Amino acid sequence: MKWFAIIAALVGIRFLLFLYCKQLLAVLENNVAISTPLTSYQYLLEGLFYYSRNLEIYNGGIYHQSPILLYVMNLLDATGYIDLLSYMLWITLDVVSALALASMDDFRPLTAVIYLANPFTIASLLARSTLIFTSTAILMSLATAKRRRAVLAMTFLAVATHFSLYPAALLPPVMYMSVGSRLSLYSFAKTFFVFVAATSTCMALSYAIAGSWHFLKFYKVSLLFQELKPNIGIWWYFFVEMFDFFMPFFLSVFNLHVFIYSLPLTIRLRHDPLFAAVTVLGLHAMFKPYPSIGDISLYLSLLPLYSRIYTQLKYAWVALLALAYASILTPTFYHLWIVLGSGNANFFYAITLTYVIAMTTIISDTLWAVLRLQFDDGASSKQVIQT
Amino acid sequence: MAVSGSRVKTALFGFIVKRVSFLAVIALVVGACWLFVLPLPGQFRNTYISENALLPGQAQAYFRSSEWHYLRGYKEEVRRLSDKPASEVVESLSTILSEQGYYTDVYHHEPDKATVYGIFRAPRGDNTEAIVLVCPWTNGNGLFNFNGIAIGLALARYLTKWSVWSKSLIFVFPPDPHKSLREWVAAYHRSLPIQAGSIEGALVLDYPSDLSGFSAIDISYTGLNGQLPNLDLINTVVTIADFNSLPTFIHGGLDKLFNALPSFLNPLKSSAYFQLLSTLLSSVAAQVTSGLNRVAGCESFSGWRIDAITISAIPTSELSHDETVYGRIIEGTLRSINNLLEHFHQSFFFYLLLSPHHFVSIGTYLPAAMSIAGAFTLQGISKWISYIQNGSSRSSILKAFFVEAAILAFTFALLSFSLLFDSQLVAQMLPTFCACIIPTALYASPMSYALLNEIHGVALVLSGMALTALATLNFSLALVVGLISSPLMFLKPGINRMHAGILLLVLNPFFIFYFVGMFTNGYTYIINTFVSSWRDMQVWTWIIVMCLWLPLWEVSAFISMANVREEAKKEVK
Repeated sequence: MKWFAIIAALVGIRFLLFLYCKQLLAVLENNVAISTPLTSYQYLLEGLFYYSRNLEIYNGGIYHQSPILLYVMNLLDATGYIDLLSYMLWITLDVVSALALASMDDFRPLTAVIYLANPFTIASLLARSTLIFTSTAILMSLATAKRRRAVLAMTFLAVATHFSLYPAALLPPVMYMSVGSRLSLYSFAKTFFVFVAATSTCMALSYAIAGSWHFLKFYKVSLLFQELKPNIGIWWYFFVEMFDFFMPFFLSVFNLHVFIYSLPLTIRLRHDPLFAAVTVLGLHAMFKPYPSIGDISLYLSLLPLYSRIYTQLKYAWVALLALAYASILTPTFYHLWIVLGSGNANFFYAITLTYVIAMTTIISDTLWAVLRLQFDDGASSKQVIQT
Repeated sequence: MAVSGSRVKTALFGFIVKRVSFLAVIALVVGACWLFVLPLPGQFRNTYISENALLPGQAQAYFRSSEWHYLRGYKEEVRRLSDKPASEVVESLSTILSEQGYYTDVYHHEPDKATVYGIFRAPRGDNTEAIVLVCPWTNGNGLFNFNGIAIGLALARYLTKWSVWSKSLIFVFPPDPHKSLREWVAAYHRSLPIQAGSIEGALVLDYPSDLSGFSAIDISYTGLNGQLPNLDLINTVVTIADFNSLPTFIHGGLDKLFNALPSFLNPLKSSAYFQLLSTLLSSVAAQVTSGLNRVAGCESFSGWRIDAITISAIPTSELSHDETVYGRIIEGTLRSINNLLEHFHQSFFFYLLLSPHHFVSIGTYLPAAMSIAGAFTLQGISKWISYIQNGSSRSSILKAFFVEAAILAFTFALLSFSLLFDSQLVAQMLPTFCACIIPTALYASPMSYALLNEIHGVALVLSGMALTALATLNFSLALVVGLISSPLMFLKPGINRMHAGILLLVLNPFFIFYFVGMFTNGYTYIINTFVSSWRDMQVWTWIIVMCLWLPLWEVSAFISMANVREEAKKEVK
């Protein structure tokens, strides 16, 4: 009952902020750390404008998201209350994500509360970043995979992949999770077929909605990093001054970097493929072309599933402080650079590097702790602390 | 091997952990002493012109004896207008400007308050860039800007004779350089009927006398909320003044400070270190009080990417430079800004001047504020560590955050209260409200030592973070607020209440304002200045006081006054 009240209060806060802090919403919607060109709600509305007037959506160079979102938004728009209804849809997805997280942790309510109370989650929700469709699908996929529902898990993963492509890297751990130790060529082929079938269905739906294959351009924008706008990732600064003839090489290297860790991590962590998936998500929050704090909140919200490793962490405070400092300095330095004009791009880039340092520390620390527990249950480290 | 390695690491970690509090003290001392090292030789640099296009002083300035009789005529006109009602002044000024060929308009603030402005379209430009010259009717000290207006009018006539301008010239005659000018600048970017594109530079003319002679010029440059104009603009004016063999001062010169010093310190006055230090400190003080105290005029342009400075003449009745030299300095500066192909960007935006020719850049001075902010974080961490080492099983960090959030909500409510009901009564009620925390702490049920310690730790870490962010925006404010509130970090739960009470009284923001008010215009005046500066000029200082300094004070008061649960206290020993 107590937990129910806390969750209800957290949802209530979301409604109150939406109803009474419109200025805050506008600020967050325009914040580069929260909305990227691929997840911005304003761009979604722009796309909706094109869609509802039967214009070619993907020629404007503004809309880089899935046509399915447009269809949903159009339905909401038809009622005349698009603002309120879309916000309720976002909150519902947030609650579904929280439940999916809790279900992975024997329905421990604290896990859901930690997700819902995370300021990054709230900021991302208030900005109505469309990343939430991806992250909810990912969490549902992980939750169902943990219960060995291979078909559902693969379907959700296909949906997530459809929305933002990079969740495809979760294929090895999720597949391994959902089939478990009975991994055979047959089960592999079966689950993979489900994934392909679900992806094809999403594609077919998108084709039906968009009326042409032009919508595939939005994957191109992501893969070729065609929207050169600052975000908290490490791509934009690198590609700002890249010579054209180096572009193909570095684009392949950077893209490879996003996908390359997935399989080895799954093999090494085969006793706990969920943790491999969590770590891959953490790496995505750093290395994907358009990361936002929504990605970081997704990764951080999965860590409470591993509360047993907390005693083994060595740099938890350092990493959390670095993350906190980075999140307070990001808007400050962006303001110095873009609004006041007294700072420059290097200021903001330095802060994105701080994000990466914090995330790297958390990822390597948790990975070390999990492997440590697997090795000797943390026996020798306990001994050291006692002496 | 691995285990023994980690044992060494653990031992080292333990050694450092026990001394984090000591490290915080070191950081604090370093931060406090840092500024006093900067005036030593080798720490600062000579200024230089970074943007080649500026070419300061290279163009011959012709605002000379041939303009004398025009200037005398305008002086007579200004003398005639000096005791006339505002409406007649506005009408005369706009008639003069439009007769000179300016597109003239009047911006009305209130029924009896208006700003005249006129635009001279650039003969060699496309009307997308402009330079602003401001001649306020009264200057920042409330003195009648006699020669400032007369020279402004004479320049307005003279400058149209040239065909070199690639940027439009805007002459502005506001009633005061404070709220009125700010409103005009805001209106220029929103609603004014005649426009001349983006403002590339702004000069405020300040010559509050009818004496023909002046001995030196004084440059005020701080903007609001820690913003500064590009250093190239100041360097340009200083270089042109040098070519005219005119001495320059920064922020009111040193006379005021020198007169305040006891006479046995006289030998110090001539030492280079002392002169550089006092200019540096006056730069810091100007940045802290910018928009609050004396508003020179250039502050009003902050927030629109406009580089603005105020050039004040120091009048003298002795035989010295005449008014046209002042006009030539303005003319030369305009020619330099006119040369720019892109917006000021080459030189420094973060600097402190030690003299007109010497400066320190951000990398050299920022460590002062950063190490003070770091001291807060370190002390906060040390409170957490001592708590973790005491071996309490469950973290009460959520409770600590809850207390911090409640106190922040309280101070935010006080802030909104003071902004909504801006009056003397509210200003006098604020200290009482803020002291409410002490009876709350005294009568609250006893809390464990660890929890109180952790509440303090959370507050210190958050303050450290806020100070770091503030230091990048407004270095001086972060330094001063950090230094003044730093003793609060040494309070502990269960400390002698008498000692804690005295320390808390002395460090209370309102007590400090009251104390400062005793020597200046009084406590309520200070509070009302803070509030009106936020309302009229968007100066953050009051927000910082109420959302950074006061919450830290409230938390420190709470934890040092609260009753400590006995058994928890023993556990620590």
